Amino acid sequence: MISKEEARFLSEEELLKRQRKGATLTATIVAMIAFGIFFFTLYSNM
Amino acid sequence: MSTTTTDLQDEIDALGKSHDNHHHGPEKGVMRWIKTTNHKDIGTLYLWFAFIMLLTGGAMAMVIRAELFQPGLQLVEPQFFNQMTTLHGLIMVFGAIMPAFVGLANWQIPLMIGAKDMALPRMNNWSFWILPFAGAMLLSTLFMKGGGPAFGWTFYAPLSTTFAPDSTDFFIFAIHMLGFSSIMGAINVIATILNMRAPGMKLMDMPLFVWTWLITAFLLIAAMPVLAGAVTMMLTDRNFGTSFFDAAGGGDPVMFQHIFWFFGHPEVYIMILPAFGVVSQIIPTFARKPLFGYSSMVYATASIALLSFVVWAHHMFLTGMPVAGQMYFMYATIMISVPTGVKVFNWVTTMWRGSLSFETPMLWAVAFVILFTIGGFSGLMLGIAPADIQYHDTYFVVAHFHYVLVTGALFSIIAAVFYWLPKWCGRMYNQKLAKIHFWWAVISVNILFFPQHFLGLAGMPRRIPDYSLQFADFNMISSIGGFVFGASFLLLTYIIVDCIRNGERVKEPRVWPSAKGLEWTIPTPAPYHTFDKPPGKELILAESSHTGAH
Ligand code: HEM
Ligand SMILES: [Cu+2]
Repeated sequence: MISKEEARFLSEEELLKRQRKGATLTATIVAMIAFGIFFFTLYSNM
Repeated sequence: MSTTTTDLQDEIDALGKSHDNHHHGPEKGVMRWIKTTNHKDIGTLYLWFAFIMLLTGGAMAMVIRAELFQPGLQLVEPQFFNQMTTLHGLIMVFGAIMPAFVGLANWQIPLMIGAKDMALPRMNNWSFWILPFAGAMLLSTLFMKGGGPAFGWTFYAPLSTTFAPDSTDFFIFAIHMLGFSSIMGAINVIATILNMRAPGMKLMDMPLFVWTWLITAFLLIAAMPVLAGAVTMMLTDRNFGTSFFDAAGGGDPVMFQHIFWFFGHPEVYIMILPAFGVVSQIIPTFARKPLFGYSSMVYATASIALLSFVVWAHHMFLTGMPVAGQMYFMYATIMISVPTGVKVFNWVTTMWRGSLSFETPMLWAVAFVILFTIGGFSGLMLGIAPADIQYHDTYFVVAHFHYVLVTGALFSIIAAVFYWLPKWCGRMYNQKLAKIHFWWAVISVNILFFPQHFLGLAGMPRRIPDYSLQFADFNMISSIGGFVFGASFLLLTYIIVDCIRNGERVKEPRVWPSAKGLEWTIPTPAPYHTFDKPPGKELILAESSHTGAH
């Protein structure tokens, strides 16, 4: 989370950049977990 | 801070290249809907798609109830009857309930956390547009040689592998696409809630609808890949000579059931946790009190989610498990009633000594609390392993899951639409008609499903087109309830279309004067772009529906 103190010194564009960075990282990690579970399901039944 | 109102996706694109942030609204015509990255447009698309699927699945339910109106075979071939029960279940679960909740998430999550849009707007567009193709593919199996899938929504092997019609490969592809869409939707929800909240909004400041959706999204991430794995193994068993589920080749058909229910039980919570969120938003508004026990609601939701992964074999008590296994799954299952009880207690306590009023959304929410709880109780009965020997695969199970899914999940979706629709379109529906519709639906749904408990206890099996004579009376009552309940959706369609086209205009941002939440601070109807400027901490706290006075 971006605290309101930090946010006060960010321009709109900088805030968006920070949010983007976090969002892409979160999405990548979560997608990897999903792929991991998918392949584990197949692997554990071989 | 700029006052331009652009799509978040445009701003993201502008970060990379130089791009003028020109002001623009939606594109015109169908291209608006095809190319949109706007969370409100996508939410609307999801909701209409879900509604069309609800009517389609509902039509199949009418076929089922018509055939079961009397004992004997009257209207349809048994094989077609089985296709109807199968597609009814699949369409309602994957086409109606899940997309409807994703639609509500798209509309509401950004508005409730003070964000401009969902975190990944372009992926959001993909998540939706996969759905109509998957849905169409699923429905098209009905017209293929050998007919559509007839093995039930649980598609147990070997019925769905060795003995399945050719169309099953299209069914598998449809499930893959639906799963992919849900996973992308869940990724978007998680990324949005974790990264796009207004600066200063802590997790424990979030409204419960946002909390329950965050937890649901994690359930989706953990459960949908397992479903994808199951259908992948079916695909290779059917076409590429593997034998995951074929005993003749050293595989194990019971393994299919374990994998399916490892997905399937969390799946039922995927369909009910957002409903808990909706009800937790509506009840404080119309009780004019903060939600009782906010943090215990959050912890209860998380406990239900975790427990949902360790109870799956309560669907399999009759597969010949060791007694120790039966005992474990029985106790684990019954343990879920503790956090569920916490929730029901908190809703009732929120209403207790509140200054209650019964506008349409509140009627649906109160009906949810009462009728969902009936479904929870029958679930407890089914969770008792020795008793389930009697109940399993009877109409008692059908009654159970229709109480939790129809009077639970579906009722909460209707409640949510009646709660937020005026905010979305700036018009109020005909409240008198909406109340008539509520009573029509709530009475008929009980005539439809309550007698099914008695049928099940008397031993009537599920998924059969014909039955012996002692079940005739309750089946006729149930069918009549079914037709009346089905017809109520025609009125619902009218109420919603009439609201959008001719409803009385609403201008107040706070459509319900006692409602709290950031979504009520923006103009009505909700502008195409909102929260260009994130709301401040003071506003976040003032609009919290779980702290302070109402
Ligand atoms: C209060 C907690 C609950 C308990 C203890 C419970 C227990 C059970 C049990 C033991 C069964 C298996 C019955 C059998 O096949 O013999 C079952 C079936 C089912 N339950 Fe629940 N349940 C609960 C809540 C829910 C909720 C919240 C939903 C969905 C929103 C749900 C949806 C279903 C469905 C769809 C089935 C039938 C699956 C099939 O087609 O075989 N249940 N439940
Ligand atoms: Cu279950």
